[in-house]
This record gives sequence, C-alpha cells and structure tokens, in this order.
Amino acid sequence: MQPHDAAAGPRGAPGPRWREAALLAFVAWHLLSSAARLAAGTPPGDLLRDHLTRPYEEWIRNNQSWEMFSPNPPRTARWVEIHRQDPAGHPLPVWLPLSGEVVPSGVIWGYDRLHKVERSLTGRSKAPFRQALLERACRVPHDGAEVGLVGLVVVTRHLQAAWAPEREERLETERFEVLSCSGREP
Amino acid sequence: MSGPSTRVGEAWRRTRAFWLDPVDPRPVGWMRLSLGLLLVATHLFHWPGLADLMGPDALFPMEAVQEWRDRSWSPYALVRSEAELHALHAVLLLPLLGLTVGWQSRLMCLLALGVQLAYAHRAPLALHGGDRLLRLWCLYLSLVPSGAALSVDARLRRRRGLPPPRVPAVATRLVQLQLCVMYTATGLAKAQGSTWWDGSALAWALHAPHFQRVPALSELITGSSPGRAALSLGTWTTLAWEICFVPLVLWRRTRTAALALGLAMHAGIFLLMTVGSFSPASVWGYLAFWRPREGSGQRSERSGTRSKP
Repeated sequence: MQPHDAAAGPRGAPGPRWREAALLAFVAWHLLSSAARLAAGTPPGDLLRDHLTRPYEEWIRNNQSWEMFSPNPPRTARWVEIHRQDPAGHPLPVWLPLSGEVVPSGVIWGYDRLHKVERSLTGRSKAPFRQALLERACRVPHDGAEVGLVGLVVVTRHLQAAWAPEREERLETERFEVLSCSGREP
Repeated sequence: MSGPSTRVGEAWRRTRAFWLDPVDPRPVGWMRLSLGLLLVATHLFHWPGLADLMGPDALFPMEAVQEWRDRSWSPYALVRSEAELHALHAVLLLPLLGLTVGWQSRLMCLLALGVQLAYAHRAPLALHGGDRLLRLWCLYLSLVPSGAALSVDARLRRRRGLPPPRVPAVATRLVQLQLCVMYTATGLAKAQGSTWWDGSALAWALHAPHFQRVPALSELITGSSPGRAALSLGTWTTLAWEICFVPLVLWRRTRTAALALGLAMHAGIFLLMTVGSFSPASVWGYLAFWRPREGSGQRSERSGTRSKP
C-alpha cells in the first residue's frame, strides 16, 4: 500500500482503485466462504460449499465451527485402545497409541495434543486416521511376537458428579475397525 | 429526492469507508506484535510432540491426511529424518520472529499464515479452536501493512524520511466480525444444551479430567456449595454474554464492560482449564476494538489517521 499514491481514492485509503477492488473482492469471497461453512447442513450452505467455496475452505482451513462446550460440556472421558492378537488368536496386551486415560494431578502447564487427537478420532470421516493407526499397530512388535489381528476400541468413561447423583460412573467400549496384519479378511 | 443510482453510490461509499478508511496504526502494531508472540509460543510448544504428529514416522502418515482431505499439503510431509524435521521447525520459526519484530511485516504475516497452514495440513486432528483463530488472525492481518507502527519497518521508514503507510480498517473489521460470529454461534449452540440452563455446565467443564489445569483446585471448586453456586452464576452469565455479544459490543456504552467481562471469562478459562491457545487467541481479537484517544500519539498524528469505532 503506497501512502501517497496518485491514484489513491478520496481520503487516501489504501491505494489504487484496482487494489481496493481486489481487496474488497477477497473480503467478499472470504465472507461468502465463512457464511457457507456456518450454514453447512442447510441446502443453501451445502450448495455453495459443493459448487463454489469448498476448495478455498479446505485449503485455508476456514472451519467456522465454534461449538466449544456445546450443546453441553463433555460429561465423559474418552480414550483409544488397540486390542491385538497374535497369529494364533491369543490376546496380546492392550496398546495405548496416544495418551490413554487422563489421570490428572499436580499442575498441567502444557496442552496434550495427543489427547486432542484421541478425542477427534471417533468421527465417521476420520476412518483414514484409524486405519493408519491400525496399520501402525501391525508394525509395532510385542516382545518380538508377531501381531496377527488388531482392532481399534474407544473407551468412554461416563463421569459422575456430586451434583448429578442420577448419573452412574460406568465404562463403555465401542469397537471400530479391525485389521488383519497378514492382509487376510479379519 | 435521491434516485436509485444515488442510493447505490451512497451504499458503495459507506461500504468502502467501513472496510477501507484508514485507522490508527498503533492498535494494529500491537496486534501484530502480540500475535507474533502468540505464534512463537505455539510454535515452541509444538516441539515436544513434533515427531509424533509431524515427523517422518508420525502416528498418521501424510497419505491418511490426504485421504481425509485430498488437497492437503505441508512442508512437514517432505522431511525424511528427525534431524530434518527439527531443522524445518527451526526455519519456520524465523517468519514468526520476523512478524513479532515487524520486519517485512506483510511478507512475514503471509509466511506466518503458511506456517499455521503447514500444521493444519499435516496434523489436523491435533489442532484446536485456538489454532483456528491464530490462522484466521494471520490471514486478516496480512491484508494490511501491520508494520506501520511499533516495528522495525516503521523505524527504517522514519530513518529514510518516508511517511508511514496508511492502514485500512479491513483487518480490524474482519477480526471484529469474526469475534461476533464466534461468540454468537457458540452462544446459540450452547442454548440448545440442558446444562447451560440448569447452571451445571461450567461445573461439568471443570470436572472433565482432560481439561483440568489444577485438578485439586477444580475438584475443590466443583465439590463445594459456594463454588458450584459461583459456577452456576458463571454459566448463565457466559450464556447470556455470548448470545448478546453483538449488541453489547456494538453499543458504545456497553462495549468496554462487554470486553472486560470477556477478558475475565477467558482469564478464568485459561487459569483453570487446558484449552491450548484458545483464551489468549480470543482475547487478542479484543485489540481490534481498541481506539487510542485522538492525538495521543505522535505517530498517529503523522499518519493522519482518525480514531473511530
């Protein structure tokens, strides 16, 4: 932006008219992309995203999803376990590829990004990531023993609290993909 | 009587003024400087878990990311060894430092955006709302000469006898708008949850083990009646404040109070919960509402800009 551009508009704002127009066009485009993302799941939002704004949205990661602690804060703790068997079908110890169950103590200074991964891994669209984790589990040897079958399990602990006596603390397991390390159908 | 063409002309003039009229460069300078510090801190905090998330033998190969989003590309995917990974991470720190001191500010801001995208395209599952905000802040700030004040650029320009560049309002407008969208969207989404109405939402948020910064303190607060009463009040205040953020911040008389309440809320979140850079990245946006008093700075006068909401 040249401060004293001969072609600057009145009031001397940002410079030649073509530059102003380009800037405003970009702003309009970005706002359109943001509006389409906010309206995702509605016919106009999906139409715009599918035919116009999705490449930009995905490239710039313009994810306008602001649902922190909504509709309710998490009332569960969740972690990922990899259950493995040797080629003979005998169970091997459970492998925790990420942070596992968080047992807080002391003062936590940093942010555990692996636990963030753990919480993000269960969505339907995240199957490629779960598959990659299972393939990795096949490659990680257990005391030199070969791994035959691996399965991804998400464990959910329903939290109990003094102010909600009706809630029971309980564990729930949900099985996701299973992978045969030999490439055969599991 | 004014005809349609006059009205269109007037609408265009107002639109142009809203986005492009010059603003005081000092708040933008502070925004650049503090954003740079936030980005540097985030970059350094990435280091301990770097190999797991972005290394050549990361938990998720780049192919998995590309299967999820086929347009993904990141320089982190090019590294072949851990030494290369750490060297790349060190090199990517340079534009963030450049942005902080305000050297080649526009270019550094674009490169800083590139660094944020490099994380997002390599380890998307590890990122949170704070990372998303930082990415957007880089994008918005790269649209203006953010080095017009409080920067090496400004110092060099003064030494050469050049006048400071004018800073159009577009970046601060986009930041203001983004905050309005964020708080309204989250407020409306919260309004659909039962815990925000029965007053237990903040107690649940503090009770979740993966969010606790000081677990003993969280349990002390949630385990006592006065603590839970305060959390209930905080729950309802948060819900009302987020839903009403737009009118509260638009009305000049309530703006300062609205932002002060937001500051208190984010300070509480930051002190009691581990939510990454979300709190500082949100509060950073409040600088976009800051208007220094007219004539309170020599540089502002020299640049001939005006203070306005």
